[in-house]
Amino acid sequence: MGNISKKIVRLTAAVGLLSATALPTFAATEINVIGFGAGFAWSDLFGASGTEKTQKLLDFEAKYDIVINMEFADEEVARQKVLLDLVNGTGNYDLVMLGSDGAVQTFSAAGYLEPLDDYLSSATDVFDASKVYQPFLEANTVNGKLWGLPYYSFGAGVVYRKDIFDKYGITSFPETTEGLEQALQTIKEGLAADGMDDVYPLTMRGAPGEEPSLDLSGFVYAYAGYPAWFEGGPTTPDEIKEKKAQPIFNGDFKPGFETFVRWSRDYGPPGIATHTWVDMMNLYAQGKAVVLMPSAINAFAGIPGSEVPEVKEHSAFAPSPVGPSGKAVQSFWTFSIGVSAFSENKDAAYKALAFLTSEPVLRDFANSFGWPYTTYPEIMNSPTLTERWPAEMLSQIEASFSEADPHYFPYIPELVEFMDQIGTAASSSIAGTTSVDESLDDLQSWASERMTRAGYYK
Amino acid sequence: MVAVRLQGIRKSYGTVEVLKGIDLDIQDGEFVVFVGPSGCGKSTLLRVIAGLEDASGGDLYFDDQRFTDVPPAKRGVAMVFQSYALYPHMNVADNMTMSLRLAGVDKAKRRERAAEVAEMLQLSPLLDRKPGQLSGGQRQRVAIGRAIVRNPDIFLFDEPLSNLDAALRIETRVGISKLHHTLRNTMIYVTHDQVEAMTMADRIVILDRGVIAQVGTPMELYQAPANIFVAGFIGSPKMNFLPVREEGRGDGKVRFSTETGEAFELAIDLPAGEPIAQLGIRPENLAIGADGQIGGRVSTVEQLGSESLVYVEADKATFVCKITSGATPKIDETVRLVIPEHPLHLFDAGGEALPRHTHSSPR
Amino acid sequence: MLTDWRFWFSVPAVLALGVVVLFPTGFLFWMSVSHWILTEPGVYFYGFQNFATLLNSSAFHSAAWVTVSYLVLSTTIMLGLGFAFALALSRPGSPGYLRALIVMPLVIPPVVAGFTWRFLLNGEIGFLGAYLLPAIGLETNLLASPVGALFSIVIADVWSRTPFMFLIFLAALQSIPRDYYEAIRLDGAKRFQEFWLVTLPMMKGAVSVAILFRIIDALNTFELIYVMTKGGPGRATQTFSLLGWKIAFQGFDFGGAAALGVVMVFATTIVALIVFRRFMRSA
Repeated sequence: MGNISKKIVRLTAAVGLLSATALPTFAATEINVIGFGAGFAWSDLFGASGTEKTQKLLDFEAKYDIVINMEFADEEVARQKVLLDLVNGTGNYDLVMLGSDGAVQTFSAAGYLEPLDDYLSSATDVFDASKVYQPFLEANTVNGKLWGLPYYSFGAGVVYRKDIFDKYGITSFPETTEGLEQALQTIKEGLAADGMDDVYPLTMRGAPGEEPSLDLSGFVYAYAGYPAWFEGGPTTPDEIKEKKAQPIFNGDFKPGFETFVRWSRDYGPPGIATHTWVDMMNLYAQGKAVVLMPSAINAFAGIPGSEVPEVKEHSAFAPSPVGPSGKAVQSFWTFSIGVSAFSENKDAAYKALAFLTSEPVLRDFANSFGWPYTTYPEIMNSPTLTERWPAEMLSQIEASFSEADPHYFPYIPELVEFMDQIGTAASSSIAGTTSVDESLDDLQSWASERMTRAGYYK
Repeated sequence: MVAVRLQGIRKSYGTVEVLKGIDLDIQDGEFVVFVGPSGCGKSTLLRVIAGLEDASGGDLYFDDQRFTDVPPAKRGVAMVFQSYALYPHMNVADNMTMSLRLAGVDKAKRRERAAEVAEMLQLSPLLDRKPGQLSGGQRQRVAIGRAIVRNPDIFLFDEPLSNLDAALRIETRVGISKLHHTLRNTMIYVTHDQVEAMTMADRIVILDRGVIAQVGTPMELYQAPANIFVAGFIGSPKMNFLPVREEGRGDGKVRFSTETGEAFELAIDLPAGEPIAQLGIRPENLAIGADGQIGGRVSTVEQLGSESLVYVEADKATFVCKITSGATPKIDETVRLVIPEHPLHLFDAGGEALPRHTHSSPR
Repeated sequence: MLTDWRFWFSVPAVLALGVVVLFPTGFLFWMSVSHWILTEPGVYFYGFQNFATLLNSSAFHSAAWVTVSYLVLSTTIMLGLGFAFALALSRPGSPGYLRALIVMPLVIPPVVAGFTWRFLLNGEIGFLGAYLLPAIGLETNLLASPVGALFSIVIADVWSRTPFMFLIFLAALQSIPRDYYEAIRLDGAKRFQEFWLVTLPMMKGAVSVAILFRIIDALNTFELIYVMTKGGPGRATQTFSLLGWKIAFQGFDFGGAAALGVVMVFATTIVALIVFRRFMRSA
């Protein structure tokens, strides 16, 4: 009943329907892509509606004799369509959306993706891998192979209200987590003394599911100094199997987790246990939060639409603070695209992919949104961004890319499920349903069972 | 046992006036039938008496006590609905004794009373059945039983037989009449069927478009209808009407002509007044004979065994003759209709009956 | 039977039904006993292992508890409100625009309803959550507290689905013959007795239909919860349908998700039978 059976019905129906509609193509090779966020992603190619084709796209199609069919849908719908297409091996979509926080790891392990390493040299005129910030490629590399090319991507950082910091006598942004916690406490007391009970020192995301896990893993990394999920910090299935490394969620994982929860509870807004990046962004944009971290991108996304002048005028960027281990709090993610293993036109699909992630296309993205994040150093250091942002800030952001460890959490096929469990555990603890220790003990026993069932310790 | 008096009862729904001032006295223990075509206001009048509708004007007295504003449950009336209104989720006993339950009578007593009434109505074996398991006639009796259980001053029946088939209808009709004889309660009964009215009523109240057309015993209404509406409503087959023009009157005689040019003279003794516009003849008084005043052609003949109905097209209308003896004419036969001088009903142009000097005359 | 030519006319209908109903259901059952998990390639028969894993997981137990609480709470409120509205608006002459107003939420998709309520109840910027509730002394952040979040879901769901109950009850109320009320009024019933002795018993059938619809509807509720709380905080509002989604699309365990589907099929059938027996037979 319910949702599952509906999806299964859809799934089985899809098998029949899709095979019936897979008509042979003549002349130009058709490449099918499904995406979300019409008017956001590739608005320079498909327009604000997501249904037109701009001259730039038409030029590419003419030059390479490829037609790109872009289908936009809701994020959840798009993700499920991709999944069903891959599970059924239908190859309806030649290019599939990925994310470096699970999809790349899971789909590559399942054999649904085409490794791209051998294709890199085939269209260097469109996409030159050497011109991209290497960590974004690394983030899409699993078991030594590249599975996706990065589009919209970001690294860790902090956006904060310099005016409020100044007001409470904090003249420079703390470089360590310890310092930041003191600063948050000072601000909390200051806000309370000034009767500003609807402004919160910190905004992060604590919704159940994978939402907080990216940032939370960044805290764990900063406190433990390594991806502290399994004994010894292995990040690949082979390493885990070899050492039979058990989960350590109630071990080294704890300090970072505990800090994330404590900060959320003590300094965050009351509803943080259900907040997603949207709430995080809105709160900051509405001037109701002083610090947004560690996924600073969410502040940059919110500032342009803010109606609070102080937010626009006094927001400043700072590098992500360094934890007790000496490593900075991480938040590193790429929205990437891969080639379906079931595509019948992998060469053309790669070319289309190369174009969709190419420097001119990413430059247009940077132009239209102006966010100080991009996958190309060339764009970062061009007037497109340097005219909008202080040079110091751009170099700090650049540094957050180069100093990032894209594999700050393990790259295992079960990643999506782990992210979901971790985020849900955090949400529970933030809401106060369970204590940190209870949450982590639950997580630990779930992880042991899950890893055993998956055959890691045979 | 209660007498009912209605004084100027009016009822309007918005701008539509359904009852236009009803004055009526019902004697204690009388069985009165409200009859009339649908829309005449008979059910509304009954519901006003029951208290289910508030009168827009006028007053209601039970034994000289004003009851106009007394809530329905306190009026001492019990009503049998056309649909029976038996609660489908309760058995027969519970249905019959609902009023006792609401009055706080304990279960054992209720059961006792139900058994008593069921005995009267031959419902004893059915007390534990649900209405859905009963036949139409049985449901009917349960509905009546429910009324009897209450031991009311007045019984009200709202077309209680219209959901029954013909045979059952006659049987139940007799049953209700018997009940009246046994209980001697005041009963008011609404029907659109004049046969029911004729057979059951002590007195009939004929309603027409919100006013009383006539009140009287069945035979009064039959023999001396006050107007053309009552004349046409009571009696089956219906009274025949012949539109006429009075050409002259004198010496106890009146000369008539009809629309088609027939002319004849009848010995009618009546005081001076409005001219006669229509003659009314009951089918059993209309004969066929060579000396008839009006010519016509037989269109249909219905043989009913002991009698025959002969339909004659004459004077642009159809006349019905009820013939009990002698030969019946054949279809298409040309005949003449004999208009009797007695009994003959006379109506003026407004449809009101014209009184004749009373004097005995051979029939 | 086969020689009766009329039989053959039913064959296409039976075949179509078989394909549409039986095949997917059969497929669900087959999946539930299969090892089919994306992260471990290879689909094979797995016995009842999926059920064992599912029934032993704390996520299943918490989802069962959440689902039942949500079901009981929302159903009770919905039935009560739907009944009350229907009673108030079933009398002849009650204004039609009020009925239209009550029914309106029904045409608003659950996703939109979820977003709307999420923003209304939001504790930092929501009209209700940040201004109205604190103004009357309720400072708790509904969406972020485990019990509050469940109530929030129930509130939104009640808002969105009560109209359906209202429509069922209104139709049923209006089909109760007026005679019953008049008869019992003549018998001396007070208002509440009319309700208790006539309305309520006559509504049994409608109530059971409403409960059945509601159970199926509630077990299917996904979008609303997903949008409002994503099942959180923690697992506080993670019902079976959210858990199913998580197993299928976060854990990529299609066999496990199908096992949950099968459990839900049985649970629904049992509950439906109980409701059916309790109400329908006597009605």
